[in-house]
Amino acid sequence: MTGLRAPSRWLPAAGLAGIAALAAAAPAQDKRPMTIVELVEVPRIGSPRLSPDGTELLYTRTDADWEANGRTTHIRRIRSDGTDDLRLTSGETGESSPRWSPDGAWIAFLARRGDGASNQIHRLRTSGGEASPLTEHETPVQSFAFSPNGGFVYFVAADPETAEEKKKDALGDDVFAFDENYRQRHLFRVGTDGDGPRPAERITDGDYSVVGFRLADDGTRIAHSRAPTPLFDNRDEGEVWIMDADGGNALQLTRNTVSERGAQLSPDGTRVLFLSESNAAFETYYNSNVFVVPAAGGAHRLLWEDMPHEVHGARWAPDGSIYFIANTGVRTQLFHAAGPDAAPRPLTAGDHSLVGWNFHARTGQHVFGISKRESRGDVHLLDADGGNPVKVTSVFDYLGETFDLPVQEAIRWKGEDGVEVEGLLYYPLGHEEGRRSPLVVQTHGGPAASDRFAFDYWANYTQILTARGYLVFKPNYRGSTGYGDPFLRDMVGHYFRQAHLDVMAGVDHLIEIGIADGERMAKMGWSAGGHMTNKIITHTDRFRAASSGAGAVNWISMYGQSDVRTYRTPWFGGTPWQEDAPIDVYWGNSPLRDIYRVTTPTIVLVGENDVRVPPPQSVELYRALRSNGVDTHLYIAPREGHGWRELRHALFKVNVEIDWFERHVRGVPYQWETAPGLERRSPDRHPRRSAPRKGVPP
Amino acid sequence: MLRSRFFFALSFVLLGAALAFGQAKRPMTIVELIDVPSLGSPRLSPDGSQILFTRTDTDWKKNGRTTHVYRIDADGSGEVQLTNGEDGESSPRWSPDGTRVAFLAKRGEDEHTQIYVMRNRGGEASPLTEHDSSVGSFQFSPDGKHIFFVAPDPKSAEEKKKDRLQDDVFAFDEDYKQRHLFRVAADGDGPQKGERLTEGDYSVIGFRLSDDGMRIAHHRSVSPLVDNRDEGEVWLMDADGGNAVQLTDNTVSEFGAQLSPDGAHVMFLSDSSADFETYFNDNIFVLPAAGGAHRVLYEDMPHEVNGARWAPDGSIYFTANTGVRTELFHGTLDDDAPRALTAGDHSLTGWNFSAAAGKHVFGISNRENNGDLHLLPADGGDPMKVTSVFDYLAETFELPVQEAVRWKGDDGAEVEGLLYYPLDYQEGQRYPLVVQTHGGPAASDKFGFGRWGSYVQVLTARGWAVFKPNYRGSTGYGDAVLRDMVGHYFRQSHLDVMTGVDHLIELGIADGDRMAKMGWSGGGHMTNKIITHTDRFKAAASGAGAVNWISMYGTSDVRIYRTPWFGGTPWQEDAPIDLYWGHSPLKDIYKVTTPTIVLVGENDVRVPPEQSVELYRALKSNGVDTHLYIAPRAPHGWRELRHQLFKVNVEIDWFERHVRGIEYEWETAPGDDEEDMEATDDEESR
Repeated sequence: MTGLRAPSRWLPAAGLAGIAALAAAAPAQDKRPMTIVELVEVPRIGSPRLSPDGTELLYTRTDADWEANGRTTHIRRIRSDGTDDLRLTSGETGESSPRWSPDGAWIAFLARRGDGASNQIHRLRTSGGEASPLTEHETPVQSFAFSPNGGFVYFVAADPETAEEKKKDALGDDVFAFDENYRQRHLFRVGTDGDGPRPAERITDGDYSVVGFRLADDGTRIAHSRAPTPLFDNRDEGEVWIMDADGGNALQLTRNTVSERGAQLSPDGTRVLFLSESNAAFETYYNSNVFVVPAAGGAHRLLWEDMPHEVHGARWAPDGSIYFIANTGVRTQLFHAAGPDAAPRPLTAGDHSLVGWNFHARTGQHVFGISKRESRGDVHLLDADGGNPVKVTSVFDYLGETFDLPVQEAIRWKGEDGVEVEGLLYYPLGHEEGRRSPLVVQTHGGPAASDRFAFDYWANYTQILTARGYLVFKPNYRGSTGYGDPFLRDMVGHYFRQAHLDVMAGVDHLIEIGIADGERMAKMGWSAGGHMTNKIITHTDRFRAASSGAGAVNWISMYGQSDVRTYRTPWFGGTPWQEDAPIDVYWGNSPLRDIYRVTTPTIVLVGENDVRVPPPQSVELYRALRSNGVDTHLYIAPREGHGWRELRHALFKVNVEIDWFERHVRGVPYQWETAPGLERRSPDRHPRRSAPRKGVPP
Repeated sequence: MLRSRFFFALSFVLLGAALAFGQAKRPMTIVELIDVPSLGSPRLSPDGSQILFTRTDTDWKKNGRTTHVYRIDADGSGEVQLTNGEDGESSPRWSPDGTRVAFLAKRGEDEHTQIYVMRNRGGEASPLTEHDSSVGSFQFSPDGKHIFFVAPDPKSAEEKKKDRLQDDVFAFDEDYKQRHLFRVAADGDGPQKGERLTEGDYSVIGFRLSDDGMRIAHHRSVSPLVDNRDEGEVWLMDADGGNAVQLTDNTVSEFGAQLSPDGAHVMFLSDSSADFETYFNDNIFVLPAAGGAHRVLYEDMPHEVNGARWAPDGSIYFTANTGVRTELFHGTLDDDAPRALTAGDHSLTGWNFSAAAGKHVFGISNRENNGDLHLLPADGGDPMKVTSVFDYLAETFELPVQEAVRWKGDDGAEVEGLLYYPLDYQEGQRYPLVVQTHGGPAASDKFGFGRWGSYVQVLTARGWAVFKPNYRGSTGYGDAVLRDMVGHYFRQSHLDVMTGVDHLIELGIADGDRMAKMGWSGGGHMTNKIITHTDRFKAAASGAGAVNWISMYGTSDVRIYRTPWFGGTPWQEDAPIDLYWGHSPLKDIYKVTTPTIVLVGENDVRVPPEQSVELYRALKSNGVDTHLYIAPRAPHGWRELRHQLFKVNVEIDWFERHVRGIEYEWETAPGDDEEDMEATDDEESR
């Protein structure tokens, strides 16, 4: 192995900065607004992993493919100095989860290759040659990790169907027991010596699932989480366990009614760290916190109890200190705490979100993407103790060079009860002070989440809306994370107490400061942003149009129908099925209760296979609005789950929403954008949107 | 031909066996019950000498059923299978001169269902239409020159292209195609597209040519959706689509409109009162063909009219549900009391009146026959049996005795129901009881062979008594019984079930400590209510039932019945939410202790699966022993044979285990060999 650090890593960074400065200095009128298709096509990058010697990075890049009407992910490698960016894999269905072998000689990844094959671990030599399968497990491999000495690869996979079950399925004798037709997921390992696929050795067995695992740095033990089933709804019954690397001496470390994740043994092997959305007493529905528990069993401890942030991920440093990434409201930052008792110190700053953070103990470097107004997350390296992140990839340089993109700004206002609320504002392109613009209010999902500075993904299309002259507002209403527990827990026992009032107070603030036109406003949101949209249209007629995506209207039926109940029980103070059930709270907070008040023209969108907020919620909303004479349509996307994935569905959503808003808010006709390769409906109405695109990287 | 010869031979063997061993009858297996054929669409030839009908048989290889067209001489001889297409055929019709037989089929390269025609004296069928959408229903013009049919407007090339590209987000409840009336020449050369007779933003959802072929009585609705049927109206127009006149203007749904032989009146059916208020037993209405006031016939008759036809003399034949039976009636426009032409512990199926031959043709379904076809002279007499498809049932199998029982409801009103005795019934002995409640709920349980879904033949063979109460809300007992649900749903209905159960215990027939409750659709709603109402049942199976009337109202494809039950929508200002929730079994779900399995089809739009999910998750959350079984691909009624076998197996297993504490061995499908049978049993007894 060669040097731990890339010797010349500052030089290319300076060079890149120079290029960026040049781009910024280029005449602004050369830049143009994005089209929807261009926005849908913006790549994603993920899973950055530094090579053991720190000289190279693996990462995934996901690109749109209109022919396939979907996206494909491939694995790429780039030198840490930003040179020699190379695509390593090119399988038809793509590859994911690239990992270096500890000696740097191999790159392992997941891929489905061959007829009817499921996801298996493949590996290729870094010195060249084609990939070959390491596993031929009877079920798909879900996640994997090398043992620190490289001798094994550990992976999680579901138990297989029996031959009898497969035969019955083939015969159509396939009535199934709902919520009981899962397969438990267990831990397996394979040796890495020799060539060709080999059978796996089972590490765990029984009527439970391993829902996450991490090998200790010395490879002798495995911190992991076990749950009674792999179902999302049972995660709060999961617990943290530790066992030997061969599965022996398994010890349960937690016993509570909350869900934990990210369990990992400290470098000295004495403590296990994990995350949980709970307080020190393991009560649920708090901002995600870092916990530690003695590895031999014993009392747990919540770290940094007074910190208002929401922890997204945490890792032990070799010296027993802790790095973590946290949501601070409209940003995420990387933090370091010298120890469980030391106050965390931010290592990054900026109007951005960090994505795909990974800490590389061997070279003492952090690797992550930085997503912001003009970049969707080019990968950066950062010294363990902070400093200036060094940009490695240049996947997204074309965005800032080619497109006129909206200015994002954090704003604050007072809620109805005087509490300070924060949100993000996206200015119309070419905004001039003193001008009022039509407003689109977008509310985030979760609701335990927050809207942050980042390059917006297609579903919010602020790049398109601001290009059409809309101001876009994303309030982090009560119930959002990153603002401390009282702010998050305003929803407990209520759901809609201050949450919707925060949205309206924010809107009034924008009108008051003279930038929003209160007569021309639209409301939209997806998932919990849909719940909020549904509530808002029953609360006020101030919006001229609304688009409700995958939102709930009836908390009683929603509670039973969704695949998760974990959050909802605290909102309403019990199940709707218990004796003396809090039905008045369930119904009182259901938008359906006040649906007769709605006059806002509202479109409803949902995926046919959505199990999180099932389509019947949208059906109840649509039929209620239609029955009451409100202008409405319900658009259902075949084959889609809670998040729509197919490109043509994505394009449809943006088109139909812009059409609805333009018609009802501004009274102007809208020309739908078409997918590449399709004839345009009337080519003379608009400048060509699928004109040659400049700056799209090869 | 081969097939019918085979059956001919087979029935001889069976007959011989039965004659040889009178006492050698045996109980039916589940598979044999599922395999029982069904007959439909009987049509008498114009000269009265032959009958066309359909016969539907199971095919375990296909995991489904296939329907073919058959013909039989009116004297019961000469039965022959006329069609043999891979995907089957339906709706056989005689040409008016009796020389040709038309039917619907989708064959070979057909993208849509088309009309096919064959000569009655032999030869293969050839397509008459190559319409660009599926032909739904059709009728020969009386002169035989044309065939009129209904078909939806086709998808545009642009729509097809977008579907192909998966640019296929669709607007829910708006993605229908209007259905319109077309006609083709009945003797054209080669297949043709239909000539359009109606067009516009409405659907023709039923039509009937007048006897002289000059006019068409029909129904127009704002859309083809079931939920919009109450916005449909009766219309009359010329046979070429001209001079269309709307005859009704109300908020109820009508069906079966037809012009009287003298052209003066239009008759139709509607489940409404004389004032066109909804939710009454189906009644016959007439109104002047030139427009004018309607009137309801036989207003005091408590029966539910199922179908009606003008006789050539302007009188009316109709079939009606009288509670636990259906009978054929004859009445005039001036009668108060129509006269019954049939009598018996039976249900009549597929009734058709042939004016040319002056005869009725229908199936008679009873305890031991699933509806062999009979002929009856126009004015009545003894029905003459024509087909012998179901003779094997009584010859081979021991079948339960069916008996009508009556008891007093909680409020003193008389209630009726059917009792199926265990095959080994001995007076004085008590038997475990399965209580089955019918769907609808605006329907009734009647004498008849019964379908696989309630498998009384199998339950009684295992020593169970089966009880099917026609609880309050049932049809055929007058409007007061039916309308007990209006404004309530569960007022007397569930109490009627329980008083019936108590009556059977009192009679010494039922063992009150060994009872199970089951039902599908409206019968599932009732099952869900009953388990919240009492813990007297040791096991329950709830099929496609509702638990939450608020969400059910919005998510089901129909709302028509539900608005009257609860007195408004749950969405209006001052909505009757207390009624919606108060009548929701979910409200009292915490009371349930009865082990309950829940079954539903994945694609059920009538009582969507989410109702069953709400029930299952509530029961499970409360610690009740429960499973929810979902059948992939299945709509409100399960069709696939292996799904049907699963349902019966899993319910019997559940009942035997929880009610009698005994092990049940699952029946397997034909062709699953011995080795597999063992594995299956192991797996399924989990």
